[in-house]
Amino acid sequence: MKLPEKRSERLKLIGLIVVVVLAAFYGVYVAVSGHFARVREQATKIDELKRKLEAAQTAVKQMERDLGANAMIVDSIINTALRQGGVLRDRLGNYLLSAQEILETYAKRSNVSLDTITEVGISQLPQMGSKGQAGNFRGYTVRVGLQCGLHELVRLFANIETNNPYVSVLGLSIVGQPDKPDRHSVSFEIQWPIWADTSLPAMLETQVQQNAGGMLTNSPALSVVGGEERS
Amino acid sequence: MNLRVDLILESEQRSGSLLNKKFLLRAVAIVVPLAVLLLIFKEAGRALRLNGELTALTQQWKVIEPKQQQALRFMETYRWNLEIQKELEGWRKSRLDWHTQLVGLMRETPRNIQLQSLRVDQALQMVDNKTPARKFTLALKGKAVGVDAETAVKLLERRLREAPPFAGITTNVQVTQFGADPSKDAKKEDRIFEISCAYRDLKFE
Repeated sequence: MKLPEKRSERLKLIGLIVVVVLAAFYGVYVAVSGHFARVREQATKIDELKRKLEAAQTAVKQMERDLGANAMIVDSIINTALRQGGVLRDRLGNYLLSAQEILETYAKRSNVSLDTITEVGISQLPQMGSKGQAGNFRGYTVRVGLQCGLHELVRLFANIETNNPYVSVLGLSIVGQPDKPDRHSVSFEIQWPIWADTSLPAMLETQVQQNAGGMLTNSPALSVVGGEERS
Repeated sequence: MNLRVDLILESEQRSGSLLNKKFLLRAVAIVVPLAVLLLIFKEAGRALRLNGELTALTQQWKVIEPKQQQALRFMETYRWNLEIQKELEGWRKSRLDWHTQLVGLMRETPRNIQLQSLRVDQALQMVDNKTPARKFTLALKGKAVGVDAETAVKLLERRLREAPPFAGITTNVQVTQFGADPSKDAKKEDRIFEISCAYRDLKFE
């Protein structure tokens, strides 16, 4: 094929060819770049899904590994804190009645009589929980006054302290009485942990029941325990 | 005089080389579209494969996502339970068994010493700016009788530092007051004393 003889026609033809070639290139560019963008997008989605799947599988495997350990921890908390009375429980919001009952039981066992049991109050320990949060427990303190010998006092403390690993004698004053050398004037402060949120024991009991029924991971209580309501 | 005779026209001339312009143009006209076609097939195959993979992964995700949510809720609960256990451990570790301390005190007090008063105090404080701890102090007031009064007080001070159940948990034991007994019935060699004893920090951890 020969180009036209006339210069103007030749230029027109060349111009047309250039336009067609450019249009073709543009068309190819649009099609190819669109295709590659879609492919890139899919590849990104695939990578993201793979990462999420891997994380999910790790979480599920971790859960399967920790189920037993969690059940043991909950059992241990329930046993020591609730069933064995390690954490003082209130009676309709009154802790003094519970504390009096415990102290009088041990006093009776130790052959001493308590003169006074007065409430000091509830205190919060600074930054007990992780990340500086208020912890799950508060301290409930009472002051006890009595007159007894040192051996009786040791017996009373031994009874209290060996039966509850969490109770703590915070303060103690023993003053000798010149007229009664075998009976001292004693006063001590004793502190129990109490639940910061009184609904927590019930949640723990629920977990134990669910552990027994193998329903732990479907528990509605878990979403309460694990959700924002605890923050 | 030169005579020139053109036997063929210039347009009729042929190249003797294997690679001439026409051949190259024809080769390009076949190879390039073929390469483009191959590329298109390859890319189409890739797109189909990715699409299939994405569909399969999406299905897998739909199945595992609820399980992951369960696992995350469980982990939160597990962490919370661990925290409760840790806090309870803190309560256990931060207390001092005073019945053991009192038994030790009765056993380690020399016979010529009569304790007149005993006082225990506790203060809560932060250790290393992050862990709360109980800090116990013990203050003893008493009277030592006889010529060995001073030796007995020194012995009690040493035992409060070194003998069980005090060893390792008392950090600072010192006689804060020592002097003649001012009471009327006291003998010349009788002494009164005060001992203060600080215990190491018992952390809630």
